[in-house]
Amino acid sequence: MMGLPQPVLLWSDALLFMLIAAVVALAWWARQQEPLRAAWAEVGRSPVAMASATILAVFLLIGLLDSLHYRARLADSPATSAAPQYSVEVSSALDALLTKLRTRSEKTYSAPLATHLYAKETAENSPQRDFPRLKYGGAHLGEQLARQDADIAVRTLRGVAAGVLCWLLLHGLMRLIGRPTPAMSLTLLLIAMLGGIAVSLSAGYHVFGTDKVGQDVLYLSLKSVRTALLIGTLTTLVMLPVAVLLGILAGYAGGWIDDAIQYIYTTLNSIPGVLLIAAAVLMMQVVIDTHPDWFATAAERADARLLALCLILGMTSWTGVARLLRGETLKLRELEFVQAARAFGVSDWAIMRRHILPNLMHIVLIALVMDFSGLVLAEAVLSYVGVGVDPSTTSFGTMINAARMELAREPMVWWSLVAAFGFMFTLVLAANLFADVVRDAFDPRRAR
Amino acid sequence: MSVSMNAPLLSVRDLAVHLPVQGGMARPVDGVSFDIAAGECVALLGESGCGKSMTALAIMRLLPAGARIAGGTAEFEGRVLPTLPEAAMREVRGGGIGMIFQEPGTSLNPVLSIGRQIGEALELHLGLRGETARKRAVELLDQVGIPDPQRRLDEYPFQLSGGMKQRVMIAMALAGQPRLLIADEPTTALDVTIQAQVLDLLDGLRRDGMALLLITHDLGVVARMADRVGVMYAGQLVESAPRKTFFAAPAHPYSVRLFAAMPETAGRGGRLATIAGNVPAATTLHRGCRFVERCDRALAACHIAPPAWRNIEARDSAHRVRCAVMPCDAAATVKVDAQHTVVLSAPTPLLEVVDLKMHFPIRSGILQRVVGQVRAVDGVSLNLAAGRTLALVGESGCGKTTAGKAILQLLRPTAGSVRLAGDVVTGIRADVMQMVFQDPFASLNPRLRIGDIIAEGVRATAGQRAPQRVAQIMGQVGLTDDMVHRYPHEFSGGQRQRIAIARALAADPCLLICDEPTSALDVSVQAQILNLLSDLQRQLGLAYLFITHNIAVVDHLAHEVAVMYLGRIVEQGSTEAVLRDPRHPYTQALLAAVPRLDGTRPETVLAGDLPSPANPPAGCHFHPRCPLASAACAGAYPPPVHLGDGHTVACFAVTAHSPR
Repeated sequence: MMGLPQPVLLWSDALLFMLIAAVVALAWWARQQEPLRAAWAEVGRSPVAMASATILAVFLLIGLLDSLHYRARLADSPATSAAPQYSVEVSSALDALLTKLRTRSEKTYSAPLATHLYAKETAENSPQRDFPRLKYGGAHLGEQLARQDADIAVRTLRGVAAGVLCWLLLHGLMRLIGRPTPAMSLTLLLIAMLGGIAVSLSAGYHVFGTDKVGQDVLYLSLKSVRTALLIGTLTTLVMLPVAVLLGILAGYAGGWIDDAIQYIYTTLNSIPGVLLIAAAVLMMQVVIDTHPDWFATAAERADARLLALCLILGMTSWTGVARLLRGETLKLRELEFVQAARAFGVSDWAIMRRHILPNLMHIVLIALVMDFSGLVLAEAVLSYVGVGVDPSTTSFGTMINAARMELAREPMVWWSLVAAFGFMFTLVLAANLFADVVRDAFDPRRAR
Repeated sequence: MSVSMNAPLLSVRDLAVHLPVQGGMARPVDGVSFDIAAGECVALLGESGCGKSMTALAIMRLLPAGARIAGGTAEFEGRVLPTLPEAAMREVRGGGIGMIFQEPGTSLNPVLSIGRQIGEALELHLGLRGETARKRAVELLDQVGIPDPQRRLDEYPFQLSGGMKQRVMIAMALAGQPRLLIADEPTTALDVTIQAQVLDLLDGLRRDGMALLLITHDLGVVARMADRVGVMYAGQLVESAPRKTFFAAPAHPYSVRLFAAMPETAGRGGRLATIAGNVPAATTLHRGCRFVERCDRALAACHIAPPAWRNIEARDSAHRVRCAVMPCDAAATVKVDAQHTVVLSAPTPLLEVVDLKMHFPIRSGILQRVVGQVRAVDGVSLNLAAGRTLALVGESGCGKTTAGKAILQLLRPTAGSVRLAGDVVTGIRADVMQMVFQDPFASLNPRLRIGDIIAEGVRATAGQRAPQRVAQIMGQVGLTDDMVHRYPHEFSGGQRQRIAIARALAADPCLLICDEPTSALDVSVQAQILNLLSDLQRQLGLAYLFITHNIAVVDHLAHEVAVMYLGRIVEQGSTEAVLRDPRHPYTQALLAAVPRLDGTRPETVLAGDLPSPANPPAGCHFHPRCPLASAACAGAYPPPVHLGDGHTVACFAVTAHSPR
C-alpha cells in the first residue's frame, strides 16, 4: 500500500510562495487605500487587462501546482518500519495530475495526434522498413486506423462540451464570490474549451507529439511554465532593488557616488553578457559537483542551479534599468517640488522615497514587465547555448535546444519548437498587455 | 468692418474648430469673425484657454491631430484657406502668412546652423540657393537687427540669447516675404528690455506694410502695438474695437474686469479686482452668454440666449460688443474694497543679508580643473523687516533666483552672511523661511495627494501629521477640505499656486521667499494670488522677499525694491523712491521698457543683451549698454551713493545732490 508522501520544499518553491504571499498582502493593503482601489478598479474595467490577467492566472496556477513538491513513499517499503522509504525522485502535484502523460512515453519522435512513429524502423520479424505503431498514441483504435479522423473529431467535440460544462461550473462559482467581467468570462471559456480538447485528446493521443526520447511534448510544455515563471519573477526580484537603489542614488547624489556607480555598470556592460553568465554558471556547476553531499536529491541540485542562474541573470541585467532611472532622476532632482521638499529640511532618503521613487514607478513597472519577458526569452537562449538551467530541468530553452537539430531534418520535426514558442508567446504577450493597462491606470497625470 | 476700405487681406468668418476629447467634443474656437487689412495690426486678447492660438493654427491649417475646422471660412487674398489643397496651402504658409511662436528656444532646430534654417525657407519660397540665398539671409538678419549677420549665419541656436533667437525666428518668417505675420505671444518668454526691442522690430515691419495678427494676453503689449483689438473669451470674440476706444472705455464686462485685475490700475497695497471662477471648459455647451457664470451684472436674459453683436454708436461705430447688458461704465462697475495693508514695522530687521556671494566654478579638462567662476550673485546686501515686502527685481539671468535660494540655504553661499532675527543662518531653517516657486505645475509632486503635500510642511515643524492643521491652512488660502484626497493635476494653475502657498505656510514661517509666483498665471488669477498674499501678510505678519521681473506687481505689492543687474544690486530703496524717481540708468531703462496701458512708447530702448555672468564687463557691469557711460565706468565698479531714506544707487553718474 502507498503511505503518505514526504513533502519537499525546494528553495525556489519557498521563494515563489513568499513572493505570492507578498503580492497577496500588498493587494490586501491596497484594498484599504481608497485611491489605490480606484486605480485597480480601472484596471478591472479594462477588457484587455482582465483577459490577460486570466491567462496569467492560469499560467500561475500551473506553476504553483508544479511547485508543490513531494517524494512518494515507496510501495515496497514496510509501512510499519520506523524509517519509511521514499522515492529518490521528487515529483510535484502537477506530475501527479499528469501521471498518464508523464508515463506514456513512446520510443522516439511522433507527430501531434499521430498513430505511428516519425521514423521508419526495421520490424523484428519483417525485412521491410516501416513506420511502427505507437505504444500509446492511437492505441485504442486498434486496426481501424481509418476511424482516426472521426475519433479525433468526436473527442474534440466531447472536449469542447466538457470545457463548456467546466466553464459553467467555474463561472457559477465565481459569480458567488464576485462579478467576473465579460472579458474574463470569455477568456476563461476559451481556455476551458482548449483545455477540454487537450484533456480529451490526450487520453488517446499525444496532442503535441513526442520528443526524441518519446516524452509527451504537452507535458514538457506544461512543466516548462514553472521554470519560465521562476526565472522571470525571481530574477526581476534580485535585479530590481539593486537597479532602483543604485539608479536613484547615482542620479540624486551625483558627485563621486554617481561616478562610482556609473563606473560599475559601464564595466559590467562592457563584458559580453553571455560569456559572463556562462562563466558564472560553470563555476556554480563545479561547486555543485564538488559538494554532492549538499543535495539530497537530483531535484535539489537542479533547483540550486536554477537559483544560481536567477542570481547571475539578475546581477548582470540591472544596468539598463539603473541607467534609465539615473537619467530620469537627474531630471526630477532639478524640479521645484524636490527643491521645495529640501526647503522643508526633508532628509535625502525621504526625498528619494517620497518624491523621486513614486515618479519613477511607471518606468520601474515597464522595466519589470519588459524584463520579465526578456528574461523568459533569455533563459531560452541560454539553455539553447547550454549554459542555462540544469539539463534535468524542463524549460522552454531546453525544449528548443533539444529540437534545434531536428529542424534540419527532412521532414522537419517542428512540434517541440512550435509548442514551446506558443506557450512562451502567450505568457509574454499576456504579461505585456497587463502591464500596459496597469501603468496607465496608475499614472495620475493621465486624464481620465 | 469700417477700417477696411478695400477688400481685407485676411477675412475670417464664423471660424469654428472642433476637437474630439474624452467625454465630448471640445470647441476651442466657436464662431470667430474678423478682418485684417494690409499693414494693419490686429490683436487677439484673452486669457489662456480662450482659443486665441487655436484660431491662428486654424488659419494656418496647422491644427493638432484630431482637431478640424468644423465651420466657417478664412479668406486670404481671395483664396479660401480651409478648402485649399495642401500643396497650395504650403505656398501660403511662409509665402503668404508667416508665423512666429512664443518659445524661441524650442522653435529653432538645435543641430542646424542659423544659415541653414533661414536658407531652407528661402529655397522653399523663393527658390534661392547657394551664394544668393546666403546674401539674402544676411540681409534678413540685418533687417531684424542682428549685429554681425555674416558671422551669426554659421552659429547654432545655443550660441544666441533668447531675444536673438526670436529675431532669427522673425527673419525666418520674413524669408518668404509674407504679407501677414501671425505672432503668437512673441514676447511672453522675453525680458522687458528685450521685449521692447522685439516689439520695436515688429512695429517697424508693420510700418513697411506687413499686416500683423498679434496674439497676446498682455494688455500693455496690445496698447503698444495694435490698431484694433479683439477680446476673446471661451472660443468667441466678445468685443472688437479700435485700440483707442477700447483702452478709453472697454465695454464688455470681461474686458472691464481684465483691466481691473491689472496691478497697474489698483492703488498701491489695495485689493485687485478678481474674476471669480475659471474660463469654462471647451467642452461646455453654452446656451446663453459665455461669461454669464462669472459676470456680476448678468440679467436673466443672459442665461437664456447668446447676446448679439451691438454697436456702441455713441462712441465709435467700429466698437462692437457681444453683451446684452452693455455699455457698462468701467469705473463704476468694478467695486473693490479698498482695504489697505496694515504695515507692521519692527524695530530690528527680520532678515539681514550682508555681502552674499554665490559663485559656481566652471570646470574643464580631464582633471576637471576650475578655470573660472560664474558669479551668479556677487555681493548682495539686503534688509527686510517683519511684515514688509522687499521686491528683488531684474531680468532673467541677473541672479535673483539664485540669491533667493542662497538666502534659503538651498544653495550654500560662497561668501557672505544671512541673519534671521539676529541669528546667523547656516542650514535650512524650515520653520522660519519658506519658498513659493514660479511654476505651479513643477512645484507639486504629481504623485502625492494635496493633503500629503501640505502635511509635508506641517511635519517639518510639528514633527507629526496633524490633519486639523492641514485643514486650517487650506482654509486660510481658500481651498476646501474635500480637496485633500485629490491629485495636483486636477487643479488649475491658480489653485495649484494656492496649494504651493499652503505648503509653505504649513511650516509656520515668518519669511516667505516668493520666486515669480504669478508669472505663469493669467491676469485675473494673478490678481487672486496677489490678494491672497497681501491678506496673509496682514493676518500673519509675514515678510515677503518677492523675486520678480514684473514691475507692475512690484508697484502694487512691495514696500521696498532692490534692482539687480548681473549679480549685484544697482539701486535700492522704497518703492516710491525707486519706481517714481529712478536714478540708475538701468532702472530707468527697465521702467521705460514696460509696455504701458496708455500705449506710449519708450523714448530709449536698451540695446544689446545681458552679458554672461561668467565674464562680466570690467568696471560697472552695465557700462556697455549704458547711455551715460564715461571712461570712469569701465575702470572700477561704482560705490553706492546714498540719497537718503535708504535709497542707494551704484552709479558714477549719480551724486547725492545731483538734480534729476
